[in-house]
Amino acid sequence: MSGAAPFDALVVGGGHNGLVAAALLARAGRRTLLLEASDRLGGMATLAQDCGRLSPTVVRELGLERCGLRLSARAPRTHLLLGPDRRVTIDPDDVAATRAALAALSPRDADAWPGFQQRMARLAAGLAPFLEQTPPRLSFSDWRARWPLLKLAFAVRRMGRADMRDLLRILPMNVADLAEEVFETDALQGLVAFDAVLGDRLGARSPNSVFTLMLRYAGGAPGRPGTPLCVEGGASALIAALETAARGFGAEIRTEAPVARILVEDGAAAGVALEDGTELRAPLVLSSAHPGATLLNLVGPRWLDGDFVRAVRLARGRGVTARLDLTLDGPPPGLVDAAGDRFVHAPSIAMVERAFDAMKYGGVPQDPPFALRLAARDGALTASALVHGAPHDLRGADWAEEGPRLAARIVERLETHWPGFKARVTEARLTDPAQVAARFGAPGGHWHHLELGLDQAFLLRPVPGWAQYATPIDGLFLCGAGAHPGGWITGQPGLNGARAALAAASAGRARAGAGGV
Amino acid sequence: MAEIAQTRTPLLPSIPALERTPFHPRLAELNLANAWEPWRGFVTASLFYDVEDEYFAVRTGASLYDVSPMLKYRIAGPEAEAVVDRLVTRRIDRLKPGRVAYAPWCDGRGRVVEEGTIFRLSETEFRINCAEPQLTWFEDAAWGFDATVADVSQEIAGLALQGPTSKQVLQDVGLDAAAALPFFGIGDFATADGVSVTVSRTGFTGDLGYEIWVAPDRALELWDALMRRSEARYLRPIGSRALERTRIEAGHILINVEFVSARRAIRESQTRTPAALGLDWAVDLSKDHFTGKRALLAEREAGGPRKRLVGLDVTGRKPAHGAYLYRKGKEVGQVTSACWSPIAKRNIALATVDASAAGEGTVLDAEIYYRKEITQGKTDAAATVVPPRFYQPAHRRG
Ligand SMILES: Cc1cc2nc3c(=O)[nH]c(=O)nc-3n(C[C@H](O)[C@H](O)[C@H](O)COP(=O)(O)OP(=O)(O)OC[C@H]3O[C@@H](n4cnc5c(N)ncnc54)[C@H](O)[C@@H]3O)c2cc1C
Repeated sequence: MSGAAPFDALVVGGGHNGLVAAALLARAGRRTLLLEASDRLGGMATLAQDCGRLSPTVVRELGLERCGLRLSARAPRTHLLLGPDRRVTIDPDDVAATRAALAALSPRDADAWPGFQQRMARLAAGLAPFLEQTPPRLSFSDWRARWPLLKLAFAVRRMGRADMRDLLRILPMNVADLAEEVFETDALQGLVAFDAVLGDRLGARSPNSVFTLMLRYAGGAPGRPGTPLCVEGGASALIAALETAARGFGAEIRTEAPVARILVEDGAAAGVALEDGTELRAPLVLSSAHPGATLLNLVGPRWLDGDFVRAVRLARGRGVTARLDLTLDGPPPGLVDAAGDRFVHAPSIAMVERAFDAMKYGGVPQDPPFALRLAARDGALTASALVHGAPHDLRGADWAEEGPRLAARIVERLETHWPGFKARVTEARLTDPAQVAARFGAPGGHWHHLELGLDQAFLLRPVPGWAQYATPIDGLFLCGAGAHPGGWITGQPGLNGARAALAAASAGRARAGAGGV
Repeated sequence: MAEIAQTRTPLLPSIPALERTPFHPRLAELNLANAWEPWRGFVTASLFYDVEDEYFAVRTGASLYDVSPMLKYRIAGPEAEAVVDRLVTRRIDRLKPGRVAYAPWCDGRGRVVEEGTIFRLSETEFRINCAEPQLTWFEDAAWGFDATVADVSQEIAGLALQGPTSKQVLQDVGLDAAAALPFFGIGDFATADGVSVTVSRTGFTGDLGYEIWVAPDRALELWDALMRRSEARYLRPIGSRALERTRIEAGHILINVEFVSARRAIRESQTRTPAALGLDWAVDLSKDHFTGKRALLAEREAGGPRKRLVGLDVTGRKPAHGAYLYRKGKEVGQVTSACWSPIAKRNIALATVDASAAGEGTVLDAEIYYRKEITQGKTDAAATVVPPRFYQPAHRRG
């Protein structure tokens, strides 16, 4: 070796998880360099509408509030779009108003709504120990490996018998069946179904959809279980705070520095090679990029076992979510202080399911469900919609043509809900999963990198047997959405991945030290 | 109507009928015992007339065994070498065109998936022969490399020509150049009658021997040419029973007998690493990455496998089929294959035993069960651990 490497750790990818990992590594005294392919930080979070699931642990550990992050006490409101100028508003901060609004739909559903929120929050809290921790290794010959499993078992026991039974009963269900058990109006059933499927390749009647619904309720605002955290300024404010934190701890950050290869020597990570040919060496490499892109493209099959490569290849992750950006030349008629609010078009279970029916076969739904938000930026008013209606594997068509058509249909749909809306739209631009894939180097363009489902969660994420952030390459760790506990803006994969890497590095150092004596 | 009703009777299972190999017409004429068994969907001879005669043909004359049902895969392309090198436990970059290597391949846990012979036909083309289907495994191994995988089993018929006079048999049919192949050599040749063949100097009997590979439509011509030398060279067709004895004498392991494929095993405890099967010699842990390498390094670091395959020299003459093995009253393993070896005049066996009982010279107590007319008899014998190569004549390499 020619002299000591200038870095202890390299982080591939400057999405929010990469930033969290880099900040933690730097805080632990590792000379850390983060490499981001594009010209800006934030990754997929730059397309997100909220960061309501951000882990409070991440906020605390990195001191994000000292870095300019402001958590708002106010939880965002949800307006159900139910026809021309017909909206029903759910305000987590105003129980009475919400009750009155829902009672107009159905007095029974108005009764059921708060109970359902609390129930989901309690059950999600039961899942929380699984989400915050690094999954244990399943090795029953080793007592130490059994300990974390036992601890998890105790954590679940704390839920109490009734909740435990409830969780076990509903977890394998589909969200439509659950929503129909609880609510009688199409509007609330549709909202619950939409919240469960948004981001994943699911329909209202797909298995796993109660699990994904529950994930929505996990984490969130401290002291208010199940209520999303509200970050002032949204995801871009979070990214700015993370950047400040990482740099503050001494991490170096380079954008427009795409990594072409992860260097492997003797089965261990040795650094990275950038696309421009520069080689950077370090004994620790953490990748927040898609697991398939990391392992199959940056490392390559030559260094991996054949069955492992197969498992990585087969991990599901074809996105179905698009983002539509609208520029408006003025506020839509009748709008009062709705910044940060969510407008949801998902009027029934049937329409959520029909959208999925089309996507199953590679088609674009006629009338997909979506969530719209308005924001004022630099004096201009913009709106963005997250649309459950854009299969990555489009068949017999391409996104260059289908994108504008889908955008136009959504604008028409907004016009029916909100007469006068269309006239305000000066520009509409759809970002489809293929563009997401290309922009963030995430094959499939899936919002969680890999689909979230019970078969790709916890011990099984990203692939069975490799849920501890480590990879078969010594010194290479995963720290992005493809690792446990998955996507959403949580920071948890970054947090856990960095911790795993630090633990392995100090164990390795201890071993080397012991060997030297 | 009646016909249809009959073919649909639920009592008749609708299993596919066994296929016949290209040599079948000749084998059927010669199979006086009419003893057949299935082998991978083909009908194959257990015996032709007399197992002793067939066995001694292998050891003192020459024998023909139809190996057409073997699976054969072609891996070809600019990166075929890298594919095969990452697939198997041995260094393939050192295998020259025209040479053959025997090797196991493992899964990521280091457990043997299968083993077989690897023919390097050219810089960019390999053929792997094995017993169980491997298409998806090989395709997965080739994923991401510039190489293709094809199952060519049906395109190639094969005969194992084994025994001390096999070299003369080849010379007799105009395959002098093939007869001169070095041990584990391979090449393309033509018989005096103009039948194109590929000949490899390989086999399962531990004796001097070859395997001859031929297009199915020329198979009978090849058979007839060889069998014309039957009288002169004591050349006999043999069935699986005679072969089984010779392979135990040679100490060759057999899938589903000495181990279960890591991909098929229901119980992980039934799978084996190469070291556990005595194949350490065929594993190069210093080579570049191959599938299972990390697991095998970990196994070595932990002191090696917990169980090992050994040879046993058993007292008495009762073959120790399935015998339990004890040491100081504690059960330490079981016999997987056993026979009386006529040529070595020893009662031999292959067994899997705890590593602590696997040292050469260790004497174990074998509890042998055998048929005693209509009852089961039991006898105790001393079983000494020996290298599992019971018969290795110098002429096999000559
Ligand atoms: C349209 C859309 C809307 C979403 N909306 C929400 C939402 O409202 N709320 C929410 O919580 N979540 C949302 N998500 C999900 C969330 O944004 C992601 O799950 C999360 O941002 C993933 O973060 P990450 O850091 O793990 O990965 P990414 O954000 O994907 O970051 C990976 C980074 O690595 C970089 N990279 C990749 N390859 C290389 C390379 N070879 N060299 C260097 N850099 C590389 C990429 O450019 C990228 O910046 C949304 C996702 C999408 C696609």
